[in-house]
Amino acid sequence: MKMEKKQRELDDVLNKYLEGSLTEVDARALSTQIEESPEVRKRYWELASIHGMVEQSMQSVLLQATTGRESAEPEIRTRVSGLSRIKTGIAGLAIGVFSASVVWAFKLPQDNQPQPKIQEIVSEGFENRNRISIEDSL
Amino acid sequence: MKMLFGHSFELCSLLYPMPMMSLQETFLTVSRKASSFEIGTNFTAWACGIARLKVLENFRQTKRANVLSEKAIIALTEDVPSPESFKEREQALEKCIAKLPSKLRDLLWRRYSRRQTSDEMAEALGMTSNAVRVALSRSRVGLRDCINLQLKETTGI
Repeated sequence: MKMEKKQRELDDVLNKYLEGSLTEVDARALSTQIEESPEVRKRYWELASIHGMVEQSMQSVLLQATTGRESAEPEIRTRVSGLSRIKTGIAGLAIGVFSASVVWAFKLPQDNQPQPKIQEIVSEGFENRNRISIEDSL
Repeated sequence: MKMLFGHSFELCSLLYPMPMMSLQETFLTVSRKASSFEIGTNFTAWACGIARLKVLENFRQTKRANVLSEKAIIALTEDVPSPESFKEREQALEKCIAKLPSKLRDLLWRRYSRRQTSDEMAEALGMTSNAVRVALSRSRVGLRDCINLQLKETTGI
């Protein structure tokens, strides 16, 4: 029981140190404990690695969220992605309807107008009709 | 050498919890002084020695001195767990984070991702700063115990 209490106190001091909130006096006392006890050193590394690993884990989740690969908060992500999917669908539909009406609006008057004389254009050439060709003169 | 450098630097940041700015400054100083390192001596202790000076400099500016003694740092660098052991713990961590109550996960998220202070978290969640600190401390201890238990189960020791 006494041992457990001591360990809890040590954990508390180690956490305070790792959080940067340990007093100068406590830091000196902790230094002595670390110098003397391999058990304290072991506990130090166990807690320090939690700090490092949790930070790394949370940062990588944040990075994934910022690069858009994955959202940081899963519950929010589900809601947001559901909403955004609906929004994207509606926006897509609206764009589709709009584009179709624009195309239809331009196409309809053109359909009523008389067709240009394609034949004339096709039959027209770039040659000078007044010029006598070499073949003709022969 | 590259791996050793990265690993040592990570370890130094665990030995000296420091603000991001002084972490970057320390990294630059260690990189610049890399040529003065004597091969065959303890690289981690050497790199952390430089980190210690940087941290002390930072503490002098902020008028704080809650830093471990040089002797304690050397003792810690001699007992550094292997990179493999860190890897094992890292793998076990994910499962343990998932086991935490959502309130504690939220606190960890705010602390490590949003980098909120205890006061900021307390204000946002309607708690006292002390309650936030205690909860954070408990969640870290809980994670450590969970990881130790998982490793015990997998290795059967």
